[in-house]
Amino acid sequence: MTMGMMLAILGGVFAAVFGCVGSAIGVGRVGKAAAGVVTEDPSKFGKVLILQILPGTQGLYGFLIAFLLMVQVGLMGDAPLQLTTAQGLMYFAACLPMAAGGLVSALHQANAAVAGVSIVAKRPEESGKAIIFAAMVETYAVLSLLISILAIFNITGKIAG
Amino acid sequence: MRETDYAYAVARIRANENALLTRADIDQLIAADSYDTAVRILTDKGWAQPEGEQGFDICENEMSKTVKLISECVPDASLFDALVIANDFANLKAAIKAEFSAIDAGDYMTAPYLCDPAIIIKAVKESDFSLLPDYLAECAEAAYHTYSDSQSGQLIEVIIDKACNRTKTQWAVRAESPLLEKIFEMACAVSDIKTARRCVTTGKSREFALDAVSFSGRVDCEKLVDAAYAGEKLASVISDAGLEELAEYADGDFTALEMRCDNLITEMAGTNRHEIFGADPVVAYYYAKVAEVKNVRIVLSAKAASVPKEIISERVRDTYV
Repeated sequence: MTMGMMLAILGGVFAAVFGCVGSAIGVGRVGKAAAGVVTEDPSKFGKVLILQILPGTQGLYGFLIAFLLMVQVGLMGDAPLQLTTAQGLMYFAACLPMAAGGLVSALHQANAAVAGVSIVAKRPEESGKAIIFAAMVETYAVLSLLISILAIFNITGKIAG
Repeated sequence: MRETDYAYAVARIRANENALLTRADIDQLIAADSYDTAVRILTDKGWAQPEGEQGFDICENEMSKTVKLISECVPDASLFDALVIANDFANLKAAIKAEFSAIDAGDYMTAPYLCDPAIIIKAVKESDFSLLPDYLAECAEAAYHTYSDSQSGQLIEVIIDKACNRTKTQWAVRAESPLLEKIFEMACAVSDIKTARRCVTTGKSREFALDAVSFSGRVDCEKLVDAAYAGEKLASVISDAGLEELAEYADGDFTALEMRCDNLITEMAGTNRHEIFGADPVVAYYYAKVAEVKNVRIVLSAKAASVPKEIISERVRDTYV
């Protein structure tokens, strides 16, 4: 295995690990708040569950980037690419938006979702607004995902070309 | 303790905040034509049915529910301890006074507590203060011997209140709640103002007053005592301590001062209404409930004594919601 391949794999690992860590912390944090509300009023389970799920997407996006990277560098097939160090670094850099964006957005989305849980606790009829506030943070996770996908595909295109 | 560890507690508190009595609810209670009607309004709002003739049980029951809620949901016991520690000192006072008055102290114990009242009573009865936790032992021994020598209830009040104020302030820091620290500082200031002024009016010496004040809040107690004995206004000393909101009441009557203190605590608690993490929302809810129960007590006792509505309105405290 070349140094380039190792760097590429490291990028995929970063995207998956940071995304999943952010999501795990975020979902756990909102889960604690949601449990508090459900302890007092079990009928609000459905509303708080939606809020709890929201910071979980970053882990999924990180997984997607790692999977996509493995396919692109041939790790899922029989013939992995012989990547140079520079090419490996490019893949590594391509994964960073998802790694950093995923981690940070998951944590902040969790805070917004916890605040949303408070809205559900006090004004359950406004739960839609609570979900929108938390979902706004998702924009930046999606942008991170898109830039990482575009970068990985373009790097593969350049290498193949 | 991380602030996010309070996510569960804060969410439970927020869910319970909807049940707090609003100013409109208090006005409705005041407007009730009788004591029974007021109690019925409270039961309609979710308060428990009173047992027997004395509707005041309704307040104790409500406060017990609050304490139970907080003890269940806080992730760190030190916060709960800091909130209820004052009751241990009140129980110690009652136990010492009861011992020398040959009455049963068990009837005067306040819940919730950290130190079992039975242990406090036993320690006082046997003069074995090593049975008590550290925060109580020293002041218990001092208060016990002072009372046996002087038979002065005022002196043991001074000794125990001072120890209580110091312990509360230290425990508030340990509980990592800036709001609780501010509340205790305010309460200490009010206690010191009252002590200094009482010492002057009862003809106690300056040294006695200096020994009686807490020296645990933000107020410069030496300056406070000096001002009180020199017949100067205490307002400037209180302002210098950064408690401007309290200053203008420092030289007025004690009822207005206490009411101002209660209202300021409710106001401070209100600033945490939108916090999502940390111990402060829990503390804010506790004090909101304390103010609410105090208001209900004022209204119910006034209704029982047929006090006019206008006077009740003047006495009630601000509400959190």
